[in-house]
Amino acid sequence: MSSVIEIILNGLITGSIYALVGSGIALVYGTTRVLNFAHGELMMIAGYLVLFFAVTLELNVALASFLTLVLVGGAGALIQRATIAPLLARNDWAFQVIAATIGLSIALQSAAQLVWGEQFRTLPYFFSGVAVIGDIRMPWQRIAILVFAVLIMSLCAFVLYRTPLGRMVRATAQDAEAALAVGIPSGLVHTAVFAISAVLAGAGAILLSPLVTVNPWMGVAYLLKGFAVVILGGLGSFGGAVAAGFLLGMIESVGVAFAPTEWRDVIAFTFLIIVIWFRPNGLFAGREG
Amino acid sequence: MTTTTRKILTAGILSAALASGAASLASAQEVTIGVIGPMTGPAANTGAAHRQGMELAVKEWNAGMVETVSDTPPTATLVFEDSNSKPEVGISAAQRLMTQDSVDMIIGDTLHSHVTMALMEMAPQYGVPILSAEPVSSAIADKVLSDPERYEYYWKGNYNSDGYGQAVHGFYKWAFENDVIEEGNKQIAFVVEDTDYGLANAEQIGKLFEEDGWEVIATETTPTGTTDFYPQLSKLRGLDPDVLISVFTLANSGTSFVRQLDEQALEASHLAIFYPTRPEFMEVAPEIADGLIWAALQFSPEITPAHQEFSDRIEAEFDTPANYSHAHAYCTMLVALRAVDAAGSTEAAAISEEIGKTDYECLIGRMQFGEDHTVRSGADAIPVPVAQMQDGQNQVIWPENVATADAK
Repeated sequence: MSSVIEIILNGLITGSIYALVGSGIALVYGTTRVLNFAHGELMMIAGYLVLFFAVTLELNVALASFLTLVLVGGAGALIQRATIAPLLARNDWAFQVIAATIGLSIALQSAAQLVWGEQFRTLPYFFSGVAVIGDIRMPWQRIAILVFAVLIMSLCAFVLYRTPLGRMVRATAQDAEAALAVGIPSGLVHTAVFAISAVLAGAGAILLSPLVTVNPWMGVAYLLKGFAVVILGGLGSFGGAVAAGFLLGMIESVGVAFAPTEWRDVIAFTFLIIVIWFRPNGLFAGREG
Repeated sequence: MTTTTRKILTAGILSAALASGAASLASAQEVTIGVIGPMTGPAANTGAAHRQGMELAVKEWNAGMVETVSDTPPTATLVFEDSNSKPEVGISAAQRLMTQDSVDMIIGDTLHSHVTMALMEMAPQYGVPILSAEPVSSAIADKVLSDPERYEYYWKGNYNSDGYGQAVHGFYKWAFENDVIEEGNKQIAFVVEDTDYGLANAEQIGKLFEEDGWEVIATETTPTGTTDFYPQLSKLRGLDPDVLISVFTLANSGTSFVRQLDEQALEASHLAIFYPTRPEFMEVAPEIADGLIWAALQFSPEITPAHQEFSDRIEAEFDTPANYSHAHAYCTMLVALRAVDAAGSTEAAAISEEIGKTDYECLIGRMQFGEDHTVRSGADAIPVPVAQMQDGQNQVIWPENVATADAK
């Protein structure tokens, strides 16, 4: 029984990170139809920022995290204004935007290597100790990942579905030109969505940094899983991405428990292919306004 | 054919022969060596160490600060290319080095076995000698043995996976016999990265343990760079192995694994392969790895004066202390330069022949190549000692004749 609970917990924890990353990608795609291939690098930038504030400047973790989220949100907005917005004004921008964000991703990785070097850096655990209940052992740091990820995504959902900003985002997602016609500044909404997406990526990086190491390539693996989550959940569906993130994490965890680890990705992506076969638009597509 | 025509032809042939000899002699005065390694990507920190080790070797060689074979050694120039840890990128890099830079020899891949498996195919294709540096996978040597003629110009600058296999097996056999570690139910498990390096190590070690009646109960392979091992460790806790072997080339994987292993409180005897050589691991080791047993401690400035002296030279040159990768790269480059020097030529066949004759005592041990074109391991060649982290410092605990401390 304890091993089943551990499998579920491991799946939820991994899934919460996938959900954080995937929901950010889904939010941008759902609102602007842009696939941001530099999303993983926003995670990486956040990782280095929280290291700088918490380790180099020795600031309180909460303050370091807050400053990181503000700055990475600003970086997301800046990327949108400088790179995406000018391209959106052109015809046939879809491929150009993909090329631009892939280029940006490579440039940011190289810049990070230049600025911070190729050394891997580690952030100390925010929460020390291990929770032991019977045979189950789980560090508080991992439990904190799950708790904070759920809180952050709940807050984001609240903003999207219960606030004026959320209504503007959803209106722009449905029809940017119509939204503009009724006085919604669609361009600014696009920028705000990029900022929120970057904050979600940043939150993932902050929660993960004590467990993984910060390096110029840390975002690459999570970007791939993020895209899988977005496809599984339904392109552009925020709620779908959250649910799919947890689902993918759970499938991976169960897969490892019953088969050698090398089958983990095979199992996860086989599931993804089966879902696409029966529901080409993803599990939760079309369920959101 | 008239006499005059014969004279002209003879003179032509003689001139051509002399010119050819002159070119060979001239080329032996200068040698251009291309180096392929992970200069970017997750393994870039190791690639950087390789680059620094090789640059120091060439600087000292060109300045006459190291022992040469002849009195007129060639002057060396290095050209670096990035493999990004990917075989296809390594192949493109080799093609550039051979066709655009016209290098006389390639050292590559400096780290990865899977990149080397692709690169070694370029040696017969282009007729350029290739010497890999740190890769250990036995599969590389097996390929050479399967077709020695084809891989005439390829050489492997590190020992095979069975070097680790014999060390790990030998250590545990000694530890069980001397009641240092309990044998238990004779069950062994592996968590390794899914590269030729990780898999070959698991295979070699598993085979030796199985010959002693052990059972391999799990071989979990994870992608390079994995940092979340909780699913694997939860599973292993249920299987309850007596010995657990982990193999990673990236320090971040090793750091995460050791920390999470402690959190999960597995009772197995854990032995780590390779990643404790990384300085990033050692930075956090005192906090997470006290008592860790690992292989192989081949570079230890804290207990070997020659290593400390080398580390000081690296630090003076590059403002960073040396690690094992610096030392291995330094020795690999000197093996290459000595072969060119001994050959007195930049011809592939001559260099290749001289690499095969190498018998050179370097920082990491005595460099000699076997029939499989691979550097030999063992007490009389490159030793593979097992170490343990004790009070924040590494101590050699096996073999007993070179041990610096008792196992705890």
